[in-house]
Amino acid sequence: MRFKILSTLLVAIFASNLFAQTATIPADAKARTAPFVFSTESKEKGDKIYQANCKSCHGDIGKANYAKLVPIPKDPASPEYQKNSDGDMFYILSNGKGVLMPTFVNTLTEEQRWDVISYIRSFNKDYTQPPVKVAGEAAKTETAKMVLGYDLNNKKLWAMVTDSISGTKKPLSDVTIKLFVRRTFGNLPITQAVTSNLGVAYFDLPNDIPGDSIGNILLIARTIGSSNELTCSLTEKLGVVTKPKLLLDQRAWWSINKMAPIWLILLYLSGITGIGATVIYILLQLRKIKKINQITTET
Amino acid sequence: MAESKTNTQQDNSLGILFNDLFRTVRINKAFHIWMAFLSIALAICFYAYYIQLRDGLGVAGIRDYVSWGIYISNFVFFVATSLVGMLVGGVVGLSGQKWVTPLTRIAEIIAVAFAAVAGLVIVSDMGRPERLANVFIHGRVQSPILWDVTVVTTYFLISLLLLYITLIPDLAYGKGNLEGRPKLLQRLYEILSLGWKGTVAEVKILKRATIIMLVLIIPVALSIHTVTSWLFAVTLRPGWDSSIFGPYFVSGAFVSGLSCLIIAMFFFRKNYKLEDYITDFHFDKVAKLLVLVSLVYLYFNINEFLVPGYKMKKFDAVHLQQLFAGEHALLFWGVQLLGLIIPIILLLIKPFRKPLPMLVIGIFVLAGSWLKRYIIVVPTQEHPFLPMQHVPNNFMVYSPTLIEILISIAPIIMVLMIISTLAKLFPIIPVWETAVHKGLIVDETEIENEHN
Repeated sequence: MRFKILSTLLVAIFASNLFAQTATIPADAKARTAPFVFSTESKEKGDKIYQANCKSCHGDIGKANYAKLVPIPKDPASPEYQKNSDGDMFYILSNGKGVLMPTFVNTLTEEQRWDVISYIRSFNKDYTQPPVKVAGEAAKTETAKMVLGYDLNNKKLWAMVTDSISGTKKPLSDVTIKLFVRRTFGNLPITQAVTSNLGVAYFDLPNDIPGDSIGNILLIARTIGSSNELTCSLTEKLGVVTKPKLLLDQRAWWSINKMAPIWLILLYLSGITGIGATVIYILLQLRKIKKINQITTET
Repeated sequence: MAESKTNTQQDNSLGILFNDLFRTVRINKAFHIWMAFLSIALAICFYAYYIQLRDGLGVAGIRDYVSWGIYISNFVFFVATSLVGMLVGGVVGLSGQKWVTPLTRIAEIIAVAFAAVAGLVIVSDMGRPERLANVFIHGRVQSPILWDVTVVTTYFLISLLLLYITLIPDLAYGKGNLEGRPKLLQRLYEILSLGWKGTVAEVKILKRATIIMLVLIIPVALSIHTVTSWLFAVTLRPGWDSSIFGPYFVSGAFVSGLSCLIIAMFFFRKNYKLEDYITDFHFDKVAKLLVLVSLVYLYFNINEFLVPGYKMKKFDAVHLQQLFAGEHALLFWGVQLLGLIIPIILLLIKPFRKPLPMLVIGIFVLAGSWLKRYIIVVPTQEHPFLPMQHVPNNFMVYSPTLIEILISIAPIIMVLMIISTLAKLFPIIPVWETAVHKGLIVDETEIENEHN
């Protein structure tokens, strides 16, 4: 009995811990605001992203038809959800929460994450967007640019961040760039590097990344820690040549007719031929009867 | 014995035999009335089918979940019943049971009629019947559907050929015994008899051909119903996911086929006045055969329901619950008791192995056989693995509509028409074989065999 009480208590403590993971959002993240003013356009973009990535658990916003999971994935339109600051939402959306809410830092760009928040906020009539603030050190302006390239001679992948703020191009140092490779179900983080004084960062790439049938992989570089996130991508033959083995390439029960097991085709055809041959033999016998009778009638 | 009789006596009894057996070959007024009645009934059913073609399969009770309703139950029943041709001609005939001779043609006619119509029954389950050819154009050799189409067609052709081969000598004898019948019919006999004279060489060829066909028909018939059972058994659904479905179906087929044979025997014996040829002895023998195959079928039934019923796996339990004590319980126990167990018990008692009681029992067994197919086909589909959600009530529980019932009656009418027509055009009892068995015609190949 005592054990029962103890175990119930333990479970209760554990569960409360599990559900109460909101308190860990850092203050600066809490205070963070969107880098652009929410518009109909951003709302519509957010709608599309929400339908593809969020709806399966959170349901249709405002209809409270979220998936029956524990902890409950709240309806984003609910007051308790809307009382989060934009920064809270961005943090949770980026880093995930508890055991169920996944991280989207690698699958959605910052802009896309803010689009989703724009969409979610459109269901709250009392919401007014806090003033747009630009924070962070690097790439703080609209004029910042990133280029991703491959150095054939040194066999090195590099990224260069520059800013042409006053008409002249200036390299930006100390920008952290994260590198991803596009996979079927999202972007796989590979490595990260920081730009040098020349604004260039080099990446060490593993040499066993599966590529497509000619070894191409799609590389995506993304700056982090900056308010204006920069992204660029590059397709290079840096992956392992992978010829996907299609399930329909082998002879099997469940394959198309052309790819039926040979023994089955033979069995089927031999059955048909066997029966067909027997029937033809019988018909020839009947013709023989007819012939015998023609002869006997003539004689 | 035959040799001790004088020639005149022999000719006389042969004359009586010919008279008895060819007497039934005539298109009389009763036949016209009967066919007219069937035609009108068929026309009504065709109108129902026209409505289905016009408005789609929605006019039937079948929906997304129960998509195989009484159409497919009907199909399984038709394939099953056609197996009697193989049982009587092949299994019993080849084992040298001479008593079965007068029944072989009835069994073969039943086989031909049911096999011919079985394919049409499948078409009635198709919303777009003009796409039937796609089964052949795009069919996969891995699909039991293709095997089924192949074997059902093959079985029909073989049954037709077997019926014809055994008819050849009768057609020859018929030429001289058809005075007053339509000229066209006499001409048909002439052509189809291939000028048969009954010489030793001919008899030898014919006997060999018959034996080959009887041997061939056994595996083909076994495979048609085994493959039909696989249409169900290769799926994972509770109630169908069974490794004994093949023999379970085949043994069930013998039960329905024999009950159909009993009904046909009764009617032909009475209407064609064949009491001298289909005697109480034949009924007694067929009754015992029915008891045998019913016991085998009962044995498979016990296996099919007791074993999963003992384990009661999660999804099986829902299905079996429905059959044993739920919605389908009345039908399930009714079929098992009235269509199988009680007939077995009754047929073990001698007075019940007489024509009239057997007719009643036969009708019960045949109706039970049809309903048993319904129990196999429908309840399983009412319990899919995934829950049925957001659908109207008529998607969850199947009940056939009037149109569907009429369309399902059509093939039964067609079978009656085929059997009636064949039974009017040709002697329903093999004349030549009966004459040989009675010693009225000497089969010289038999004598040759004895000398060897």
